[in-house]
Amino acid sequence: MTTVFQPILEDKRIRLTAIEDDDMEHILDWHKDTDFLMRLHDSPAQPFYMKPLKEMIESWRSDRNGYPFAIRPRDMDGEIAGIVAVFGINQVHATGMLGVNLGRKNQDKGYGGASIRLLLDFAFREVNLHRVELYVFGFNAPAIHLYEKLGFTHEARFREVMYRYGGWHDILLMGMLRHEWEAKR
Amino acid sequence: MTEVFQPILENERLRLNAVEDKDIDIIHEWYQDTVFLKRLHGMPPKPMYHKEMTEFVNYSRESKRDYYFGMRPKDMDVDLVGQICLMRVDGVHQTAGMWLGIPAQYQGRGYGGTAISLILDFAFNEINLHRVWLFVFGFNTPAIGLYEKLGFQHEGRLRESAFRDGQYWDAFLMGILRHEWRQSQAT
Repeated sequence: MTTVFQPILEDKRIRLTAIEDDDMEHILDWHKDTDFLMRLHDSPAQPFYMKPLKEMIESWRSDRNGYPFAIRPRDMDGEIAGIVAVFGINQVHATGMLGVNLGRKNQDKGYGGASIRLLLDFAFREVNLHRVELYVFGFNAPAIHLYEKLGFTHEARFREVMYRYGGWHDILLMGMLRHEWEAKR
Repeated sequence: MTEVFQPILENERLRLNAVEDKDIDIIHEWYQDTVFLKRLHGMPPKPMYHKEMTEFVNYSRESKRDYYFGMRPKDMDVDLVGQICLMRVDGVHQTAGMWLGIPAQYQGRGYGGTAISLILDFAFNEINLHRVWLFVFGFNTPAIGLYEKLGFQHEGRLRESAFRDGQYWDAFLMGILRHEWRQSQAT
């Protein structure tokens, strides 16, 4: 029964921890980057001010249907590299949504995949979810590729649901069931 | 240019108009039927209290992102046969979701298809939407057949996303674009 005593939410490279007030300056830096914003939100990419950003993060922290985490790579000396969350949890249907973001300077280092693996363990093995889904913009090819690699299945395509860069874009919905993750991990 | 003066939100059989306070008792009665509730939404299918019903109707009427209508038949001596709503209207991306609910006693008479046609005309020709989408439970085959007939495209299947009657069910995403609706109306 030693498996019970394994630590969760961390591995050799990454720890998922609380988002602290001290992290806000880093988070604000990412949210001033329009490329970051345009992959993340469907609202027009207006760089954030500190006050609404703080309010947004606070609403995530106090949301009883979600678990947001700071991504802290062990090689970044405790600095926050991004945020990963399971949110919109519906306990009747045992479903939740996954969201992840990384400041641009922290991308392409494997932090995203490592964080999502830890989060899926948490969602399926601790929160007792049956299904985790995510939305990703059709033009965000690197993210789509990562989700495919992690074992998410393409389930739906919202055709022409977002106007951006002067044209219509699809949003993809991808999903994973608990038994699929258990077989994969 | 007489087309401008054509009435909208009505045809020979049906009018869509405001849901009034006097309708809440009727709607509350519909929301006691658990079979109706199981097809309608993802919340546990428990009969609704009158107070919850009033709050729901008030929310739908007052929301800036919803266009909420009662279905008024012209060919039957009944005040109200259902509700239909464009929800989460997004002005930037010109999209909205759609839901409707017709109680069992008024189903199978074509009111659903008529109401959807009227609200799609409104969505695409008056509030300038580009796309209307909906989710439907996989077990609700009559509804899926109706949406297909009206021109909604199957856009995906959310596997095992709804727990109901002791098992997990898929839900379907369906959507229709403005040019698809106009094309289907022209033929």
